[in-house]
Amino acid sequence: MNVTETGKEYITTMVGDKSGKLKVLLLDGETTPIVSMCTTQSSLLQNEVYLIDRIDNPNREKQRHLACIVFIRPSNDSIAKLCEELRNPRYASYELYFSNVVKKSQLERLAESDDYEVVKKVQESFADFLAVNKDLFNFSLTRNSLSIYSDGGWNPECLNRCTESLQAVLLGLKLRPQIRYDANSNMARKLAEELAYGIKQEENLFNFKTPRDSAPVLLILDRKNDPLTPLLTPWSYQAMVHEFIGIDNNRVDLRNTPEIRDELKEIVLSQNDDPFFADNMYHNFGDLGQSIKDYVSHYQSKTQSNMDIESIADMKRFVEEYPEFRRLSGNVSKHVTLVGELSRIVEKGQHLDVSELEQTLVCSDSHNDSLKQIQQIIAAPSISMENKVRLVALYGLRYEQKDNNSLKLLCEMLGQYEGQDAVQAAQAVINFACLAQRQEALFEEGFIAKAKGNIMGLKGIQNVYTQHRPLLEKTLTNLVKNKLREATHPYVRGAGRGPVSNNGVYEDDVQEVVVFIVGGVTYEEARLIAEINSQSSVRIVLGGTSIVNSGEFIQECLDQNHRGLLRGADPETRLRQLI
Amino acid sequence: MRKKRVIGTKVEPVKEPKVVQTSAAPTPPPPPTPPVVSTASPGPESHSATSLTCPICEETMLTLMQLNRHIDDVHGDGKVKGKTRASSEKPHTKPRPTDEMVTRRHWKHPGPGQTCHYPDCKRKLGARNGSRHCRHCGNIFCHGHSRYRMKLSRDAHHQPKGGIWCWVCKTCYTGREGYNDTTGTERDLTQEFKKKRQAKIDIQELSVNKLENRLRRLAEESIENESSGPWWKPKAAVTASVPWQEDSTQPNCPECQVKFTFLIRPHHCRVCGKVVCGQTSTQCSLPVGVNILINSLDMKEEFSDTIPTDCEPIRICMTCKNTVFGRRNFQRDVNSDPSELLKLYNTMTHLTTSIENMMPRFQKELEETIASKKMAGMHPKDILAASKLRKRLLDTFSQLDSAARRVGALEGLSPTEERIQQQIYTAAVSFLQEKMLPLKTLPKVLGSEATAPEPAKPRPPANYKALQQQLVVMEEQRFMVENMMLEAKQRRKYDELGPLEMSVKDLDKEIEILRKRLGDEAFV
Repeated sequence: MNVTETGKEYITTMVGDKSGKLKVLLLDGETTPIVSMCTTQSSLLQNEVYLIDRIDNPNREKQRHLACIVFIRPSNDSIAKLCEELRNPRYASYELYFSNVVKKSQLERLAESDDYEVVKKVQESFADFLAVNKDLFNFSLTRNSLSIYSDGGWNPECLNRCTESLQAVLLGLKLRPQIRYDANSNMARKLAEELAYGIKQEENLFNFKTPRDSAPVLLILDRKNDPLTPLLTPWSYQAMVHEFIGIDNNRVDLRNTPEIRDELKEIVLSQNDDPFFADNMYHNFGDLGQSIKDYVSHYQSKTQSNMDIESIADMKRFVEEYPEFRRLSGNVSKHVTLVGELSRIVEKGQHLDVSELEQTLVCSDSHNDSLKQIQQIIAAPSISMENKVRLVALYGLRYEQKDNNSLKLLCEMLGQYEGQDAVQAAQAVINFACLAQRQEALFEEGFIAKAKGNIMGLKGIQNVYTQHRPLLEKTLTNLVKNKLREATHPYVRGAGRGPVSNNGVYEDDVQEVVVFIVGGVTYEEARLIAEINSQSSVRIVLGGTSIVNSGEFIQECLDQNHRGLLRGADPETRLRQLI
Repeated sequence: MRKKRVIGTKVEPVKEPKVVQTSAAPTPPPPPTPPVVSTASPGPESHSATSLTCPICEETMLTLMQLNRHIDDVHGDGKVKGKTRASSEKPHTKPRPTDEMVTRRHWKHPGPGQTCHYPDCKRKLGARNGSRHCRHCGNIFCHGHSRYRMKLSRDAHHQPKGGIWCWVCKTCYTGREGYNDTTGTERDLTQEFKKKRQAKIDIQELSVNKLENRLRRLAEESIENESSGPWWKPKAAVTASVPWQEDSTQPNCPECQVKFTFLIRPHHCRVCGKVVCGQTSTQCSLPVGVNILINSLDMKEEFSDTIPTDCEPIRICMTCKNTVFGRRNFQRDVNSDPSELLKLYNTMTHLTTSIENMMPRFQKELEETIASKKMAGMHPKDILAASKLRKRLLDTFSQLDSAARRVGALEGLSPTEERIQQQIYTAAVSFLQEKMLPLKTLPKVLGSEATAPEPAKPRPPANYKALQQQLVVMEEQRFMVENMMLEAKQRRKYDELGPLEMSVKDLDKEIEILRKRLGDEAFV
């Protein structure tokens, strides 16, 4: 249950065969990021891969002494390119690897193109996912400004892609799961059913040798049931970087940072080959500051010890440790720059103030105070439009049921200060995830909640900025305890459940879970999963159509809204009712 | 043929062809009765024995008692009970399995003041931290390290199917089969692919052969014409091999779609007979000289020395050329001499593999040397072997280094080759940096050893040798540090330059001293 390792293992089997021949690796648009996230240039070099190219690059030179390894997604486009390549081979021999199931017809086309018998091996290696952390993957479906929504449901192309890739994830992890989904989401249900059908079609592939103690569970959720997590400002390292700067396939673009050095314009943040990041990716901003301070002083002591070289023995030690030291120095400057940039952005955008208000809105019940503060913030010129939109959206979601709420007033104010676009964005979010769309309570209301709040007040809140816990936590706790109700998370039709004991309780433990969130997953949820994984015996892997931050989430809501696809009434009328 | 046989034997035509086919096989299938007779022949007892098989797993049994026992033991709580449960619909008849059914004979006895058995967990067992036996290994753990559950059989082995859920420790939980398996599913389609390809290749080969034969004939004819007939009528002879397409049927060239005009004339491919244009710019068809043809068709032996130089060239269209010569050309390219870059790369691979082979041997020697150093008795022979190996390794390293340099110095490469060149160079440099480090520990060991055994009479040669070795090491290090400085400069890491420069200075000083002491012998 480790997606990065699985991906790495796949790549290793592809390039690992040492023949003493120079190798070229041919990729397509889909597999390039997959390979780049799983492996490094130097490990490819060790395996004699000296050239990496794209199959859709028509200007490749003939190198008929090189052995070629092709790794592509079997899309029609890539297969056509590969056929062309085989008909007029540029390299001496070919090994073909596909990231997903190859259709019979595609295989036939390839076989017919191979006139010179250059193909030595054909294999399906199911690495059709982007492994971000060891327990987090995504499909980056929204990468090419593609929307997964279309006409009240899935964009068919995306649904297809999603089903295939999710199937590849299951094959990679060797799981044949029971599939459960959010009952109120058509998209989750559709994906679950397609996937169940797909698994049935590939019965042979899903026939794994090592039996499991209990059936794994695949839980397909819909983003609309928890709009809060992507809207709130996150404060753990990885999540912050994505929220404030943006992570794209583990790469961070720092070109817009003032006074940036050339080599730091694009940096890689990967759990695998960056020990500092692996240790601190889930730490919050405060702890992070401390760790980075320690890291720098560690580096300084190293430099100091390198400065006073007095004997030959010192020198020898120095030469031996130097490569390690150089790596360390690169890493230190990377993280110092990144954390510096983060704190600059946080300070400039007054994100701490905004975040405090967000948490109060979501976690406690103080309507009038919150309203006043939101109004102040909307009027403040130094705060970005996005933050204001988020606050208004949160207010709308939080006090949706309150009679005579002031959403209309806030919207008017937002329009006055930031323009109609902002109002539209806020309304899109509220439309996307309003009470009618959700199936579970996000906010605790009534007597018990108040009592709880009082107790919390007595104990004192640990951290004002991270009070909110994602809905996913509750769902998973219930799932592991076998208490997740079938009314909210039913099984795919036809696929039954394991043994039931006498008193009607399921006996089997849940030990392996794959969670997939349609509409995007957040790094904050990834942090939660890592926490659960380290603290209990259950193993969870989290995935999503993409990894969203608040900006991307709002954009997605807008995408969906523009196509007028909410169930029931059209958004305009719904909104009028709302306000 | 099959039809004939069917009629001959007067088998009804309705009969499935498969049956006919099998009957057409040279040896008729043996009648089904003999085996039964043969098994029955030894005696009636053995016959009854063969009929006693387990209805579930089909294992043969000798006696009825054994079969009963087998069914109870092996299929006791599995399928058989499942069947009865399904038929009777009374779930409460089956007691719920608890982990008390799993054997506890292997449990360890708790001692006074015992701590959790998990490595590095020092917690004391008791009411506070909990105390629980792992049902799998029998050791006792604190709560934190025994909150895992796994299915076990009654004799406490892991049994995913039909086992009983039991508490186990973390070690057993994470150590079970498949837990740390990160290899994903793969499916090999090579066979299927090859089968599909073969069908196409067979047809392809036929057509290639056909065209090739025609071409051979054409070449032969062309040569004969030249040697025997007058030069103005070769056409009739050449056309004979394939009917020519009428000019009027093709207003355009099928390859480049150009319209035939007075200037762009239609030509005929002599191999397939089709009409194509003869423009030199598109190369839809080209007249190929006979001697070139003979060369590339490997017909040299047939016309050892009588190839006339000026016989009529043969016009071949693009399609035919690709069909006939494509594969040949490809094979020729693959088998052709590799470029300078690739040759160097091959030598480098040889060197790296020999280094990788030598390395473990060397390390073993080194360990032995260190071990024997700790023991009082010291064998100079060991040191000698180790330093010999070290010398060979160093030689190989320097060879690799020079090969890498030669790769780096290559010029006039195509852009792709340049990219490869750069990659090879970086790979070699990182290999050198990584592998040469352990080599440095040797002089420390050898150096102190080489002088230690014979302190009484410091013979000059021995001393010289040690000093020389030191000098070599120093120069090596100086070279490496200089390299690092260059790199640091390139990366603009000026903060690293300070210590590096200082170390170079130190090294220079040391080298100077050594040189002075060695005098003329320094350059050996």
